[in-house]
Amino acid sequence: MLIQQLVNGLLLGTTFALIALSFNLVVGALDRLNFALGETAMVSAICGALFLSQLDVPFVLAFLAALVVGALIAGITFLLSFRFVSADYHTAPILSSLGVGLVLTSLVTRVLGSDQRRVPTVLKDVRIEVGPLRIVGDQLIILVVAALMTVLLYIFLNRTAWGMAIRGVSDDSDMTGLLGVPVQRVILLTFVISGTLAGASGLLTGLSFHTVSPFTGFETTLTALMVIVLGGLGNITGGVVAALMIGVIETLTVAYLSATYRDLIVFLLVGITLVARPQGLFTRNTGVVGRV
Amino acid sequence: MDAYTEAVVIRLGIAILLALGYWITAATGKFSFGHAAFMAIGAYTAAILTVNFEWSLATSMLISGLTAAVAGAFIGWIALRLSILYLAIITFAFAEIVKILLDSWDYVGGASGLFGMRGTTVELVAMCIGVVIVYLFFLARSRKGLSYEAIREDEQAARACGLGVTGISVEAFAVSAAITGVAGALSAHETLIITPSQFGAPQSLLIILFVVLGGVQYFWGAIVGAVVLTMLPIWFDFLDNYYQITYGLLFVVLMILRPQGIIGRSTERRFNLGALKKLASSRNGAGRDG
Amino acid sequence: MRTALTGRRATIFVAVALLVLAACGGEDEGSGGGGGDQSDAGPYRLGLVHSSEGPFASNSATMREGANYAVDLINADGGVNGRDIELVEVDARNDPQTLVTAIPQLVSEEEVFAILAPVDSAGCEIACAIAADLEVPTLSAGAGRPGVLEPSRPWSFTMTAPDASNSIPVLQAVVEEEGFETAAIIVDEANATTQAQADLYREVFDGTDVEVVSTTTFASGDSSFASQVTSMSAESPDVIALAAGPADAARIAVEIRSQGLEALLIGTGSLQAGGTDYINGAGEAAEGTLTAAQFNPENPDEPAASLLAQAEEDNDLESVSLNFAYAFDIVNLIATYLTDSGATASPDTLEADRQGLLDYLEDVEAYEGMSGDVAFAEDGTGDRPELYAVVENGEFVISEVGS
Repeated sequence: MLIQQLVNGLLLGTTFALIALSFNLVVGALDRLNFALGETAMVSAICGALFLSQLDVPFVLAFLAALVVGALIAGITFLLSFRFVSADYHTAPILSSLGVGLVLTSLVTRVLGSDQRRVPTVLKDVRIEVGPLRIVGDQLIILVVAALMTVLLYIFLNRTAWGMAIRGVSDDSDMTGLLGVPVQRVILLTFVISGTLAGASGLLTGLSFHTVSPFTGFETTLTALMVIVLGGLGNITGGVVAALMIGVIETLTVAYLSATYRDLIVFLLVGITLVARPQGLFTRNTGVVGRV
Repeated sequence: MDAYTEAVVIRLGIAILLALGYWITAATGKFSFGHAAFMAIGAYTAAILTVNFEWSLATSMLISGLTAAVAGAFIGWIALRLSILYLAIITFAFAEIVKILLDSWDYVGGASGLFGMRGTTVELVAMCIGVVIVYLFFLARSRKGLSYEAIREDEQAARACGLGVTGISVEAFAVSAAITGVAGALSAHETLIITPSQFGAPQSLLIILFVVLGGVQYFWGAIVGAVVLTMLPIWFDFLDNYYQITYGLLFVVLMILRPQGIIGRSTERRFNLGALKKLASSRNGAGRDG
Repeated sequence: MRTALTGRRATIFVAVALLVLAACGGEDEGSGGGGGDQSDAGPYRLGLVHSSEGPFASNSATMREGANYAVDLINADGGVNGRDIELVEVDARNDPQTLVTAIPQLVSEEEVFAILAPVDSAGCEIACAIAADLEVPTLSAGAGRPGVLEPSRPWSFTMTAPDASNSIPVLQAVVEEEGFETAAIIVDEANATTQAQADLYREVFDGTDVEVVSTTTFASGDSSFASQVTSMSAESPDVIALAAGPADAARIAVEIRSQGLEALLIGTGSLQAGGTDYINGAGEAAEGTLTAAQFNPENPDEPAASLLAQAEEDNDLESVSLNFAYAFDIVNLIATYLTDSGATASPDTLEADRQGLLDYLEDVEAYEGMSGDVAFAEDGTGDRPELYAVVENGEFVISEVGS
């Protein structure tokens, strides 16, 4: 049973990892948080769910649709809440992106209703049993897709010219700009990729939770915040590790203690981490912390 | 005054009190994302005292303020040395923890909360606002007021000048929490019923919006923010189902045009079209401040 | 930096603030006076509080439709005592704080006779309490949480029977009949309604000698149920009791079936009341779920049967939902009272007429409406029939206990 619960926890963690990656990319590029990403994930997931249940398209197509929607919304958020907002005011992009999130939630309720949307099971009756361990088909999909996206992101960031540009902007945007890199376009690209990840995370979370509700946006943002703070702001690897850790902790708390303590333990953990190790559990570089 | 006017005026008054309370900590450049927790502490303290011990509302409010101040000093002492974002997250986590604890505390009714509180009057609210405004008025002209401004503008410079930055910030945070606690007590005795879910993240956010919308520079900016945000649902009632969307868009537009809030001067001293111009002039625009 | 607040600015500000406050007060008082001229020939005004935002937006919209449909029918039929009924609607936007001003607005600005309270328990509790403070009757077409009317009695009523009084006998009968031996309970801990549901299940299982082998908890909203269902399936219970809101219950059901558990799922009456959310969310996994129920959209008895059929036709509905029928009946109850008593609800008789409505509602016996026989218990909650429902082919099929 413990092993099964650990696996459950890791699976929950993989969905957290994607959304944490999504936040961390933006933190890296701009030293700012995009508070609309949770809602972006929610809208993409609902679109994906509608494709799946109404149009009956294959999962791959619905997944791609969710990615495109996520990318679009993140791009628009960049323009509305970051590009044209003065960088002198730290609170401005926060409020503005919160506003975008509010609009997204309300639009979805207006257009599609306040009901939750079902995400139909993709691989029905597929169950892998190894000893006491049981993994159902959809958990397999989540695991494979999340791992694939993380690896692709690593390759993109480390092996392609655009990826190098993103890392360059993240390290020192002024210098990168002087070297002839189109900084604003690189930042837009970062937002778009971040939106794609949010979209993926949204639909995969929906697959794991079986439904998507229009009201989960803000909660997703909060979970992601806890994860990236624990892992160290802007630290991509740290974020992934922290996500898996929180996934396991949450699952074990629910299984062996009580759901009331789930959030309590995570919040206390994050609070203690902040006081004792403000740079996050896994970061050596304190540069980002100072800047945000 | 009929019941409706009274309800609107009291609600407006509580919003103003919340905004003024928050402004004190915002004036030192420290943004809390969990002020609803202090509201909850104040509300529950006062409710327990008036309902279970039959104290008068005025005395209970004083105790509420004190309890919230102690909690505020504690959190401030832990968190105020951290950066803006980390302070935000720690205060937020604190608020969630308070909410979870209240949720599972049977003495105060758990998730279904407490009821039976009443007695908030326009006079009581007006008196509280009066006291806070007088305090702020003298604060603004005192050395302490100046030190707040110094910390907000450049914390390191202030420290270098010999200001006890942490002490001053913690004190400001505690005073801010106390006022918020009193506002919570008043709100509890106006809403008649309190449940932990009333003091969640949306409430914290609303308090921040009061101040940021109004502008941090002057305390009356916070009042303008509180009045606008409280009256907006009443003024814009005709928008019906599109209210929430308009509300969200309002913030987006406002942050582009006036990121410093309604009241207060821009560093550029005009509507901020700078970003648009920058875009036009430099395609490779490296003009980004970190 | 720039100058701090100077004395002159502060003085100006304080003056402006006072003016704003004074202006607000003056303006509102003015329009309040205007509303007071309502002559005897004007319509009867009823307040209605709905919510365009939040998880109960759909239920709220249905309630609004039901009430408006009732008003349209009554007015088309010549109204009450020759006067029309007018609904004054306010939108609470799922924010309890707006109720603090919305209810006094309905009462002193709009001078409504009575108020149709929000369908969600949290909103209803506050709305009713504030209205009770102003001595105005409130009726809700939802709000089934136990104790929700406690702060506002005797001024408030709800058509819904609380879970405990309705579901315990029904579920006990079912559990006994099926001869279950072990049960699991899964409960949303952060919610007063679902905590009460869990207590209810414990009572059901206690009374039927079923052993509760597993109790798992969750907190509503963002969470995966893999962990809870894993814990549950280790004990392989015969029956799993869902103490959860319909949306969460749906996700639990899917997780239970996808992990291959075959146990019967049972729910309280509120699971059936929020039925569409459960069935839409759970799909096939909902099949076979058994719940207590208190409203039958296929009620064969007259006059409910023809009212339901007519409502389906007029409003293009596939089936009439609980909130629709309850709101419809509330408006008709009030209209019946006004007709029978000849109450004018004019400013000088308002107090007595409102008291009259309360007395009428306390004693109403077997009023026959769209939801069947309507009556209220001592505590103002609805006295509803004991029914049960089973999900078959994507809808709740309702039967009477013992049939």
